[in-house]
Amino acid sequence: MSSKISILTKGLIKENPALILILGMCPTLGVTSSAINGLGMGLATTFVILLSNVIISIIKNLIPDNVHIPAYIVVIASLVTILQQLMAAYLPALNESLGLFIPLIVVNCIVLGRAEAFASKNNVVDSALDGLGMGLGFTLALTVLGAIREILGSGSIFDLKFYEGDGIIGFVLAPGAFLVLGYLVAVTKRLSKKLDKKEE
Amino acid sequence: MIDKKNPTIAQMVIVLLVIAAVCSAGVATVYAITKDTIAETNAKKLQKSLSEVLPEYDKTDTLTVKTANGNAFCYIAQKDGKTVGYAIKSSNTNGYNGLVEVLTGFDQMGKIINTSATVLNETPGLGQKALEPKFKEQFQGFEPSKKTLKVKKDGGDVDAISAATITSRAYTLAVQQAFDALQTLLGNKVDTHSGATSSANPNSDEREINN
Repeated sequence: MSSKISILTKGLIKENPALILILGMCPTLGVTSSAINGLGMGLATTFVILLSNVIISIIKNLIPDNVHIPAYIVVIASLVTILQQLMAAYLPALNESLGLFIPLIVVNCIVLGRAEAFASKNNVVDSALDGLGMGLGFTLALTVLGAIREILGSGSIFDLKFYEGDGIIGFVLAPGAFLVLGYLVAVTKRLSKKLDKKEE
Repeated sequence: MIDKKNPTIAQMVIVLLVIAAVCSAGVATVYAITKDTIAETNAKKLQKSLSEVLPEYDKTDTLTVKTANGNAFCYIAQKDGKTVGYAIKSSNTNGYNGLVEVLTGFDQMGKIINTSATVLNETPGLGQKALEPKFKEQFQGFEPSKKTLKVKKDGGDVDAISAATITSRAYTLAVQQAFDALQTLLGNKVDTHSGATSSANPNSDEREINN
């Protein structure tokens, strides 16, 4: 049982896809200018990783090795298209603010990465836990990154301004993204090492 | 069942075919389920924007006007059978992040009542501030026949958002495009001295600007 839990939790810190595995950098840098965008993007990606892991784990023994990449991509692309339509119908505001980055989930390395590294070699339950854990870790990373950039750059959090006027605008632009990301990676690695030490 | 390392051509083709077929079916199903909700959401959004830029109305006629920058959609607002305003949706791809689409409401004399961005995905904290009153207010009551629809940096009368000139230019251009479409729609230029226009009722579905 504890092995199941560790499959789920490894994606949160020790193997956080954005901060330790350094995957999915494009949306990580591109949509985190505000906390709500980071959270929305993370949850949308979690939806895709979870379902793609489950589906690919179910059909893994039917796909010949030399066509496995196109097969996985078709599954992932269909899931993202479905997600887009669901968001356009039921979450239109979020759909608009995330804009072009939703279809880009198809080429988010985390999704294909987990399919190759885990779902194609493990059973359905474990794959689902892995997908969920990786997705939640990604969401955590993006939300924290978005929150820091929003607080420093716009003076608000989740669109609630706590002072009049602008923040340090650099933080909502690309340089700020790289800067904050760099610090977050450093902090997370430190945290991960401490957790390793505690387990020994 | 299938030898993963040495599949036959037939096996590869069939596997890919089945996966593609099932995925297509899934996408088509979700499309069918969400189609109506999406249309409804879009209609609601449009209604909200229209009421933001027009005076009270009970119905609108829509018209497509061809301009030099593509098509503009015109909503002619009427109340009790009389025309009370014009809302024109225009767009360009000059925004920092591409497409910027604005709905501009004009009164009978070609004066802007209000503007509402219908597509704006600019940088939060910068270009996105085009949604805030501080930027939008200056367009309320703006008379394009008397003042210039360009940012001050380009010699016009519009205050750009600080550090967001590109978005400000794109937004202002969209409003200018709307005004151009309005002039085409009314079939003549707005009289710049008295601010009056002759009331021409458009009776064809498309008009062309010959510039």
